[in-house]
Amino acid sequence: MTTIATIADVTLRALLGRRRTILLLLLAGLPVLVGLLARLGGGRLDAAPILDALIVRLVLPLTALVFGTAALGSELDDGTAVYILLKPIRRWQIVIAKVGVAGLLSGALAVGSTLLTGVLAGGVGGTSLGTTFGVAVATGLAAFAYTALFVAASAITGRALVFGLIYVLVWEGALAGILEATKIVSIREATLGLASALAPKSSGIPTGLDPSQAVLLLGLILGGALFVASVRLAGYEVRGTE
Amino acid sequence: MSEEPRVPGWEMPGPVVDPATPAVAVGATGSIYDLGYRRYDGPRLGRPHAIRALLLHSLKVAYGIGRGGRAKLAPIILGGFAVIPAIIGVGIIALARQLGEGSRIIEEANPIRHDTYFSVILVPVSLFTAIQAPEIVGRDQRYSLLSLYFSRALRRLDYSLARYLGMVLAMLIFLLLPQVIIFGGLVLSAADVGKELRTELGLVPPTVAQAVIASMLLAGVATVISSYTPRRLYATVGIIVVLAVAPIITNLLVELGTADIARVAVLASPPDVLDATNAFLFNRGSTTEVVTRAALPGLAYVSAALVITAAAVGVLVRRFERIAV
Amino acid sequence: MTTAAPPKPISLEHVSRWYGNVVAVNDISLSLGAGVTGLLGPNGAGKSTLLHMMAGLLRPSAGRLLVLGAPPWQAPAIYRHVGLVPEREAVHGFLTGREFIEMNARLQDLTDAPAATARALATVDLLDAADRPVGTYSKGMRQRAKVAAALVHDPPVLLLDEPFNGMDPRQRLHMISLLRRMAAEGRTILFSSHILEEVERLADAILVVYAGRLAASGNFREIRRLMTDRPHTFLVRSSDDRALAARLVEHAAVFGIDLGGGRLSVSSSDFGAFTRILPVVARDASISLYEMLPTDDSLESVFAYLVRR
Repeated sequence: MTTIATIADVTLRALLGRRRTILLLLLAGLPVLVGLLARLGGGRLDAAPILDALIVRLVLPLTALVFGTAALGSELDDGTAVYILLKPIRRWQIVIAKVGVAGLLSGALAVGSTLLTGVLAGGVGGTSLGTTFGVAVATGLAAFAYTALFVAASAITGRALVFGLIYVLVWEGALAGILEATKIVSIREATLGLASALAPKSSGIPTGLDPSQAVLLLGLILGGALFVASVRLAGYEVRGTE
Repeated sequence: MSEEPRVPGWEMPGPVVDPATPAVAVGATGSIYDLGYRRYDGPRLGRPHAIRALLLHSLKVAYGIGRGGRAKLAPIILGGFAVIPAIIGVGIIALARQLGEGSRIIEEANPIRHDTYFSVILVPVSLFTAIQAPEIVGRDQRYSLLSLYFSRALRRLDYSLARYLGMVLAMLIFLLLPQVIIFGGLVLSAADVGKELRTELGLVPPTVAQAVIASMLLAGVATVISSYTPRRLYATVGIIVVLAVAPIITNLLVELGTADIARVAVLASPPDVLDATNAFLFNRGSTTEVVTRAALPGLAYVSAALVITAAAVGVLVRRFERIAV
Repeated sequence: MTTAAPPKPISLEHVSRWYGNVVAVNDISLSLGAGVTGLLGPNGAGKSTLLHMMAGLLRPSAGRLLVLGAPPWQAPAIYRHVGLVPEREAVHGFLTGREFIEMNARLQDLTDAPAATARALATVDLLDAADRPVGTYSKGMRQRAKVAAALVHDPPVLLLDEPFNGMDPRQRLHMISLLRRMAAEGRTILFSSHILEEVERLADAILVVYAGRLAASGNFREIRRLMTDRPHTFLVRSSDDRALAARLVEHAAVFGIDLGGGRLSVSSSDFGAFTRILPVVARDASISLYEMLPTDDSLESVFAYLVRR
């Protein structure tokens, strides 16, 4: 157990101390800003469009992408992974630590952004708060699925960032929204489905997947990614520089 | 020793040690050969030439000229997306004109016109900017080449402006090439060439103006982001996010009914601003709902474009004035 | 009584490793025991590949590789007993030296990580800089931190990839005496280098690899002796070089004489015989011998010879 804690501690410090964290904070603050502008501009109190367009589709996947690919990928990339790999610890312990920290960080950003935006743009009345909480829970859970996916990707290839981007922008962005059959393998659709199920009836959140399907998909991706990452890490070869 | 051909500006001062002298004996003494430090006494072209060279270099980088095939991939594919609709559009019109009557209807319905073309190629243009700007601006930081540049006749200001203007030129080419194709196609296929030529020439000023404004604005935003993010992928993502998310936000604000704030926010969103300037210059309605709703005078958008450009270039210049090498 | 000798801690049998069409390690068989062994070879010879395979970071494409009796690939348990100092410079720069080594200690599941950390820091002489971030260290200090991380868990097998990179002479001497001390405790230490003086000074035995093949192994002076088909060269300084040369040429053991540059240099294909006849010849001719230097009995010449084969 202490090994997981040790790795988690080092990963946390590695992820936080960089300029990219500031950029991600700014990104997470963007919906809040829009919510503030909406409130000040006297528009109607409806957080749902902002939460959908800016958080579920933008802040959540991008923060998960950056933290997820960096958690394991940066160490594999610059060679410091040797000090973690060359130890008598099980590979899944390493993966759990990495996914845990990255998921926690991106989840915190997504949930925090959701709560602030929801309260600002939607107010605290009636359905609004329910919508906000529904989205918050869904994004919090989805953050772990996303980061697990990207951590597994970074254990497979050095270009995880590119593939992750293609997944988010092309697959989830364009295709899965259009082709019905592909919705079943889109984390975004799962998030929306879960959120709309948890939120009150007329929340304005797009329906996405069935809640049961959504939970199943998130769980499968999380478990599958953890497994794949552990296996790939066990067989990870560190070449010499020659 | 044979007479070496005299290269102007190069000379070897002092005698060279006769290579017949025996080399170092084992363990005994050491010798150092004086091969003569060669000086360059020829003409030095100075700062203007350096600026021009850097500008040209930036332009070449934008189109992957002088690099391998991989560097040309993105410019060529995106260039194709920019030019092919123009070719197809011109082809359709030419065919329609051959057929005689009914061509008028087709021409009116044709979406490939000078004034509409900007919105047709907005996506390829944005991608071109997002992918190539980091190549032009970020590369030198990644490979720690800035100290090389700044120890030449080039000033830091020259560097940032040359890089920026190189990107602007690249985008001008990108934006104007299809327009030239449309121009040529329309004129050459016209029944009354003289009349068509006059009409087309009338459309040249707004077309060029829009291209200039768009190039300067997009290049400014892209280069300033790239200058702070040497890692190419992050810069590209950053530029795409800025260009794609701004209209989303303005749309959201409009949808939520915040009329006044939306009107102001529109001025800060580059794609919306460019759409509005396009509408203003060609004297037609805008294609985006946001701009229509905002109902601001056309000059406001032109000013907004200039302000954003100036701010971006200002930050870019400041970045390279202060960067540590 | 003699039963079979206990298996050596590191043993390779016909081990090869290739990447597609490129063979990095080509059919190498060797075994290492306690003491310091130097792995010598030019860049690209396969030294890092060998070390990484022994550390369990790479799988051999063919052959059997055993460390402490078992293949180290995909066997995390073996990492308790093996320490590797990798060549790549990067360490977690934001951690202090102490935190970095303590992280390694904790991941090794040591019962008293802070104490082991302190011991390791003292061994590599990093105590005064231990609480600064590793990112602020000089290259030599970072090397020492890496070595400390590799021996915080007291491993019987220690592998070092170009450990003297970036060290100044004082640090190098310190490292050499440290490694000697550890070898005397019975550890198996293998280090790679392309700097011949270091290997010459530190290693009990050397392994020479070139283009993925093992070109020679053993004590380098013995290897030198084995290369009988290449003559040894000696520099001789005497009271009358020319006369001595004339006398020496008569003997079969003398291969060649060179009087160029005012020095007498003698090539002999039979080292033993030459050393016997030289004083006899000099005495018979009443010539005083002042100095005799073997000019190429250094690791450098051995290496150059092996590499050119």
